[in-house]
Amino acid sequence: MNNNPTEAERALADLFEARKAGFAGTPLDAARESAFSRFAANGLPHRRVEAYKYTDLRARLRELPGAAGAPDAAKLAAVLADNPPLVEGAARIVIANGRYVPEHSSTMANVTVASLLDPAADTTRVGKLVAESDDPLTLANVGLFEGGVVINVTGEAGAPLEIVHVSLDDGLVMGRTAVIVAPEARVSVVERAIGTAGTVANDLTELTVGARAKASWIRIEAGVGDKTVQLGTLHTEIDEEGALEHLTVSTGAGLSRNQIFASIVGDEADAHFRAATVAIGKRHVDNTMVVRHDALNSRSSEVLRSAVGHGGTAIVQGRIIVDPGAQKTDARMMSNALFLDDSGEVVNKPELEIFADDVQCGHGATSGDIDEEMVFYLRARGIPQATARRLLVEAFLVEALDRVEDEALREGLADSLRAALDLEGAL
Amino acid sequence: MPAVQETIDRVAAIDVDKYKYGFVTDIESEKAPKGLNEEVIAFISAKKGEPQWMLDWRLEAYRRWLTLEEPDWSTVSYPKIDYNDLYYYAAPKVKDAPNSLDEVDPELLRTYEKLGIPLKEQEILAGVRKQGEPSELDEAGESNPYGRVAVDAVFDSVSVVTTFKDELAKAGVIFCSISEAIREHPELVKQYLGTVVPTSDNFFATLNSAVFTDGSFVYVPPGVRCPMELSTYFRINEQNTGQFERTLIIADKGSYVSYLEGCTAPQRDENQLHAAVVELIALDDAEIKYSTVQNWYPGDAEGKGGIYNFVTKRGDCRGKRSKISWTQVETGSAITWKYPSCILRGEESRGEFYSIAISNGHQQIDSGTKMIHLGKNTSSRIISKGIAAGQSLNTYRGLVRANPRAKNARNFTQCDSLLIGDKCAAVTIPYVESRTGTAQFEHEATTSKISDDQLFYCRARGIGEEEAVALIVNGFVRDVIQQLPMEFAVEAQKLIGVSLEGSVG
Repeated sequence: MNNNPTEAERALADLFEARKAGFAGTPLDAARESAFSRFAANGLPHRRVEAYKYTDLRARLRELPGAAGAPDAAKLAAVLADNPPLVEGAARIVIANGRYVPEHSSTMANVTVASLLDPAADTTRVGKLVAESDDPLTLANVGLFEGGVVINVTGEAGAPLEIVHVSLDDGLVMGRTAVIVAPEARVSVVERAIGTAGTVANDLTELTVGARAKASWIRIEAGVGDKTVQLGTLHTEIDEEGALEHLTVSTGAGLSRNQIFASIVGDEADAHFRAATVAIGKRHVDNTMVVRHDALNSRSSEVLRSAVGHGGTAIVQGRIIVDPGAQKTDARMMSNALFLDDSGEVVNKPELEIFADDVQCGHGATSGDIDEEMVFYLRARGIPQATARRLLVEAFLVEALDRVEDEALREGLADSLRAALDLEGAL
Repeated sequence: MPAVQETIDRVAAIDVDKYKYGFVTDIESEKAPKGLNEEVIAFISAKKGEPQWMLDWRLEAYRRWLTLEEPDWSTVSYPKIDYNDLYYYAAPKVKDAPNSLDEVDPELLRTYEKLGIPLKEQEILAGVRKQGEPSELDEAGESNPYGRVAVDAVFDSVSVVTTFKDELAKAGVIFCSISEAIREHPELVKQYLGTVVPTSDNFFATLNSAVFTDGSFVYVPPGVRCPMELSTYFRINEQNTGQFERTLIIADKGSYVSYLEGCTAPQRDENQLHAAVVELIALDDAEIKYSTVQNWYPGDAEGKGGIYNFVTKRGDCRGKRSKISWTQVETGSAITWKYPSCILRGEESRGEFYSIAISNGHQQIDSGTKMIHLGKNTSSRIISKGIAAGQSLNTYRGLVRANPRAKNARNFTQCDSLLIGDKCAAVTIPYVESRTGTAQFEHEATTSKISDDQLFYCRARGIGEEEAVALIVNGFVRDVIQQLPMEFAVEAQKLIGVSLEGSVG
């Protein structure tokens, strides 16, 4: 029991009490009470909680901003106009201050979107992936989320989907998204967070990839300053012969934790995760992934690239679990980190938990500075030192984007990484 | 221990046992009363004839221990230990030793033989001969055919045999039991004891500091290359006594020492706690090589009984260009929970860790290392090979850390796991923390099984399945075996075969 709650923890408890009555009767209300009480029992995770050893949320979130209210329509329209879709022709789903905004969202073939607070919405499949979770960020969201969407993809989606989380008021935001990709269906999603500097966001996403379905998901987490807090958790399940391609790009938030809990439950399924991170100055980026194989002949991979400078911190925790009986699993993880200067911190904690014998699993982790021999090679060809270093760092980071099929999007993401490298003159 | 009586009863009913070194030597022993309190600690200290400062040190550790909680973060699980249900001191009284090896249990000799222990060492281990006594095996003019190994045999808690002492003394090397060192060389003990593993370090190390009964002490003076390998055969003998060994090795400037620690234990019918502390200190340009072959009783076919091996081992590369190398072959114990570590304090110091951890049956291993880079230009290397068979759990847990001042630190880590059978588990939990951009860290880990092709190849050449597995596994661990001193390498290879018996088919 958490006998000595911090101000932030008390604020969350008060928020739950205040919201309780308002949510009565909404779908998923039944799970709120138990989830929040499980969260409150231990409070915000701290460094003595193994999974949060390197990202002590209790210490970093002593105080929380007040919960964001309903978004201001004019402000929202302006923000959306300033941030056009990253992929041409994408259909937008807008979640502002944690609430689904249908008037700014578009529809398309084979995709239905409904608010999670709408009593008419079909939410029978929502909440399954998080029911057993004891992750504190997940529990807090399940207890407190103020709105969100359930997206059903029933066939080949008519257009790429862009889910935009907008935070307008320097507030605490807890949005929730559930995406159910039916068997044989196909969808490609870009998820963006657009926030104000004082935003504290704790988003939760559930993604179910049905049998022989294909999903690609790109999460772009670009806060606007070192005060922004972006906490995002994805729970996903991939069924037989299903495939998921996932990419996280983190460049901006002061404190960012991207969590992925993936379960491969069907035979012959694929799950591949990439992440590109730039952590400059006071920024702290934590990529935590747990990939569980519970089926035959499944494959997973993780490739993470991080660049750290001016005292920034990059944390990578990647755990691969192979359950008993998950024979012929092929699981690989590689995390590489580059220091742009002498300061900063890089932590790699790649874990393997293998309970089946006929498997191929491995991980690798490296950290170090730019190879001076490579710089020398480029300089010998007349490229100035600064340019040579920049080229090498960019090439290093951009490799994590190599599975992004849309060329314009890939270039856009590469640009955002380049821009992040310029923060505080790090390069 | 409430679970203990139950275990004893169950084990009594079970006749199956594959442990090859199971025997209890029935020697009268003098015990401290069961349980742990300040009187027991004073009793131990008095028995050892220790000075007051040592007793004070122990009591301080004990008082601290009372405030600590037993850690539970490892992957191993075991019934709760009742620390007041253990004997903390048992000194053997030697009586009627056998007169020659002919009188020794032939099964025991076969075991020694399987492990390739030199005959003359066997005599000592079996209690036929004491140090300094001539051996019947000696022939005129014959030099020692097995190389030169000095044995400080720890029989239960008290060192009863020390060989080669004179020769070491000539070189100026001090090799004796820690109790003797406390009496004879208090200035060295005072200066170094607890400086690597302080009394406040962790639950088990603190307990050890309060109640340690014996262990080895080595001091190699400046510039001396220790003329022989030093060796301790730890043996746990008395029923129900926790073993709390304390080993302290100091390599002074420019010296070199290689220390071997080997273990076999008698068959036990209940769980035993072993919480040793090993401290190594290497000063400028000194090198310590510490090798372990651990083969304590792992429990019976049902996973009952067996030793709990909760050990704190740490080396401090205190001097510039110093080097500490740990090599371990872990095949025994019901539970092994240890992380031989190096603190790389001196500039350009180097730490190495080579490990083979084999678990079979119901064994649980949670082992690995820590390399803490503090000084400039320090380097470390970790090679860990884990083999899990039966229904065992084999965990590698390691930490590599470079502090901001550890400019140009280097680490290379490789940890590979091999799974034999679908009921066992291999877990890898490395922590790689770099706080300086100039550090270069590389880590890689793999998990796989013995390939069917390799097995088929061996089988097609008429090699039996178990033999083939042992052969392939020996290939898998070769990188580590090569780091062992010759005497141990042979022993270790055989041990791997023995440990994996019953793991296939």
